[in-house]
Amino acid sequence: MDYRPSRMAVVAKCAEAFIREFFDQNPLSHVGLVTIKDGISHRLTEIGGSPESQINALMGKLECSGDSSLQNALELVNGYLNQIPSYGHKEVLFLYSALNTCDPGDIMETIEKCKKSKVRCSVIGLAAEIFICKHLCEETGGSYTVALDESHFKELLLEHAPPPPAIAEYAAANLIKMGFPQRGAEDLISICSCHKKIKSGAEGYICPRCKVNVCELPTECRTCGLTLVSSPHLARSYHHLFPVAPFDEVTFKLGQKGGQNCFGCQQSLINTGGQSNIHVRCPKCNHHFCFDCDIYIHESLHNCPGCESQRSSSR
Amino acid sequence: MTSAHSKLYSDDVSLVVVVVDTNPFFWAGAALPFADFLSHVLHFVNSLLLLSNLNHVVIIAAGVSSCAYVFDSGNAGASGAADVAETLGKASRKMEEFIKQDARETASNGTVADGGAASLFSGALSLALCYIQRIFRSGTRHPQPRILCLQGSPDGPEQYVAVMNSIFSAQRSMVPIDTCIVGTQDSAFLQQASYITGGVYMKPQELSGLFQYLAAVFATDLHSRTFLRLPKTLGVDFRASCFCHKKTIDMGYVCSVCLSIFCKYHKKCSTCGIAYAEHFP
Repeated sequence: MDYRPSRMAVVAKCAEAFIREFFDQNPLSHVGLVTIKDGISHRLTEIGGSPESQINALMGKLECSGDSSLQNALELVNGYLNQIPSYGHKEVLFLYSALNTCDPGDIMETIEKCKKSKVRCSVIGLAAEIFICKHLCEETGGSYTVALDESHFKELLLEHAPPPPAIAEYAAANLIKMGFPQRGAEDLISICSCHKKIKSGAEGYICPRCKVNVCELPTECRTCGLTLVSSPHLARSYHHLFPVAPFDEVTFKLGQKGGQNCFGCQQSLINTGGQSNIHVRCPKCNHHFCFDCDIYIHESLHNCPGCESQRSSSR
Repeated sequence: MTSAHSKLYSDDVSLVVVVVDTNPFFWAGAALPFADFLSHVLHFVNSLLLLSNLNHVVIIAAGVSSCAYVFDSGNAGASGAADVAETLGKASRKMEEFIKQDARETASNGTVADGGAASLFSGALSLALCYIQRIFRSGTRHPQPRILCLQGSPDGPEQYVAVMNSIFSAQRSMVPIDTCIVGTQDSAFLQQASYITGGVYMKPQELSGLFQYLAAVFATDLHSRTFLRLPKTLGVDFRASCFCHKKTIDMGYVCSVCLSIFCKYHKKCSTCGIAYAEHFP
């Protein structure tokens, strides 16, 4: 019934899967890890834009001991998140297994402070529902869920990966100056600014403003503070701007466009197994697809192959 | 990026989806005639099928006004894989039909006029990925899929978002996209595709020896690639182009709401229409 081999191991493994999924869905975001032990909150990793450093910390030895203090964690996190510029969305996710919280002061004040700084706090509990967590989530607009078992816990955790809808007043829109570095020349030897190690230019990127060598993207240049990204990072979010229209369900008719095969995967659309012959059709290009292609197109590919295979006048 | 090692795949069985560029505007002015090019490709397809009788090859043609499946070795019938002449004949005939059909559609569609027109590469790539998903659904023991693109026409900037979506989907499903450029200019889209998905990007110098390049570089399955030294591309250009002038920039301004890129500071975003709060110098 309880988490095997230990709650800590299960939480660390699910957190690793969450971090990978999170960076997949939010390529320009930053994540940091904080632990609560013996009533004190420690920073496990710095807030960073790449998953590797976070995952390395999770794979290390994590020990549990002592009481947990929700207030200390909130104070620490508030301190870090106050440095984030106004266009960023601030969120805290607690993975909470304790049944109480031992705080040095008034936790209600801390919750008010979080609410004022617009930090959205969510909690996933592993034990039972606690009033203070529920109150925290309700006040700050987060979600509180309690996991029933390991697979349910993973499901609840992955639900937090896609970005929540943002309220317009909370995040002011800004034009952010960013750099798009190129890979350095092969024969250039320099010291990378993140690890202070000697690297050949071809393995790193050169900041366009201060010409310093950085190892990975996205990152912030340590010398001049310019945010450095590559165009694929921004392109990862473009499918939200140009979504694929939902397909209509239709039944098979003789002589329909494309014959009796799915346009995407060439599978036959006629089921001889007695199931009703419904499949889907794109309302823009009128090509017919099977249900599996429909799911793949809308969840992962974000392109309709039919619309892309046509040269319409809007191109 | 590591190759797709998994205990579910049989080690050296591959599914190769070949995306062939059949843009008539490009082939009219190309150094290698299309018929010779097609014979190089079909011989390469045959050699892939001869490497293992479980190998599966699919050819998708990317035309100027349409894309379609031209050949599927899975449909060839019981003796199909062994009958070389039959395979060649079938594929050539289907390709000819497709080109005629594509030419008819281009003629009736008035929007395509100039010689710099791009082929519908994003459509062909999306079809390839849908087919690969079908193979993934077919059971636990299935071939390792990869995509080989034979591209000659220039990149169409209007296809940027669609091509990037396909690249990320391929990356998630761990499908490498290999590229062999048969034209004169490099393709920025395909360089990025091969880099992000862990495939091989190559531009051969002698097109009359195309079969040799294909057989030496692109014929090996993914498992064997770990033992080979394949051509590496240096200098993938990851710079973005600004939305206002379409010129490549290395420092620009990004809208925090819709992520559109501009080269100069504007008071309002032209893509999402939002007005900006603070003014930066």
